[in-house]
Amino acid sequence: MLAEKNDGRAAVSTPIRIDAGKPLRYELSLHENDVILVMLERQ
Amino acid sequence: MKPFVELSFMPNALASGNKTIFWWKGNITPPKDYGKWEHLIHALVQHWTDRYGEAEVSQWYFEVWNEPNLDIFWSGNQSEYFHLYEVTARAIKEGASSYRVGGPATAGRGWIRELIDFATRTRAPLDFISTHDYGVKGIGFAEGSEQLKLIVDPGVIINGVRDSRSQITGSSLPKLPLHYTEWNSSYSSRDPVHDSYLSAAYILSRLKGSEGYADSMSYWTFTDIFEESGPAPSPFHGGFGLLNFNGLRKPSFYAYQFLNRLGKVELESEDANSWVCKSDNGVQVLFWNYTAPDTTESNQRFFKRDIPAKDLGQAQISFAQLPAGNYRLNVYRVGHNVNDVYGDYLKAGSPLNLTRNRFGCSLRRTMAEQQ
Repeated sequence: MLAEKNDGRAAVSTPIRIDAGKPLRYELSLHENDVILVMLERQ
Repeated sequence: MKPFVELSFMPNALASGNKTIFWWKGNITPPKDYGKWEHLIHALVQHWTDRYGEAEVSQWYFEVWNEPNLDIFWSGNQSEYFHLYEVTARAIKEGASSYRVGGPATAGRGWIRELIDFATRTRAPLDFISTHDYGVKGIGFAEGSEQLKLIVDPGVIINGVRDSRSQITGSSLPKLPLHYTEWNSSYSSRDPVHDSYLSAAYILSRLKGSEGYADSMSYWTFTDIFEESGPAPSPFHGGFGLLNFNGLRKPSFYAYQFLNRLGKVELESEDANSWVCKSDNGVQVLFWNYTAPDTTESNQRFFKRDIPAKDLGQAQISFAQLPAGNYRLNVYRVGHNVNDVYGDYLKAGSPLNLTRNRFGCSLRRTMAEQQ
């Protein structure tokens, strides 16, 4: 339980389409002492 | 990864006294015969040269002693340390002039200017400055010590790194590299702050503030398999490690894992609590909130219970000028109750041993995943 619950897997993993000239805005919750890594990878 | 060799403690056969530290009795006294010490260092470096080759050993660092400005680690005085430094540095350079040697490996950035002045005066080889720093106040190594408290000054560690750089820049050897060969929130291997989820944001905020001032910052340590204070009493005992002794990943581990996922090109960011980078196939945004605890309690009390994290609302990221196309968005998190193995351990009642069911997988599998 301890190892699997805390194995660092992505909290969110979703496909996204970005259109030319259109910025992508993304919101997510933040708490004290949170560390968040957002990675956007071209497919 | 290359070795950073710390040359200490004193072999008993060469020691001038019998003062020791730690249960394994590291001798902290100067050599009784500096000629024999020089011969030992020369032979040791020659052995590494024979075994690994000069080209390889030239990529290593040699640091003389550990925290000689603390009498628990060095029974001599400053001038005796400088003598040890000079003898050792010259012995290393006999191996090859390209071998890198430095010091003073002090606690709390002590003796930096003094060592540079000494090396300038005596022409003793000095290729880099090394020192250590921790972010607690109080004295207390022992299990259960109530003395240590996290320093809440937002400049803790950061101001020390900048001051160290400033001391070098203002010296006669202004371009010497600066290596923090130890740093962490607490210098005790029994301080529960190391296990807390707060550590991930603490690490990143300290590294961000030190960026450009130090050439390296070595988090002390990789793992809780570390016995200066004797064998660890429980799976989460406040050890320094990014991993506990079962190989379980603490929140601090993820601070470094996330850093390692950043692309090689750093982009400008308006948020000081972030790194924004790009790689060949995408962009990465790493950001955090570091909030020091508002408490008068010792670390030993405060970090041994659940510490809820206040909701700070929504964070917004805006990506512009990205090439059109299909992407995958991945979000990784660490914080209260998220990749917070110590939080789960507390909820389980802080057992002295982890059963296989509670552990969640075999040790062999966990260790394999680290590799």
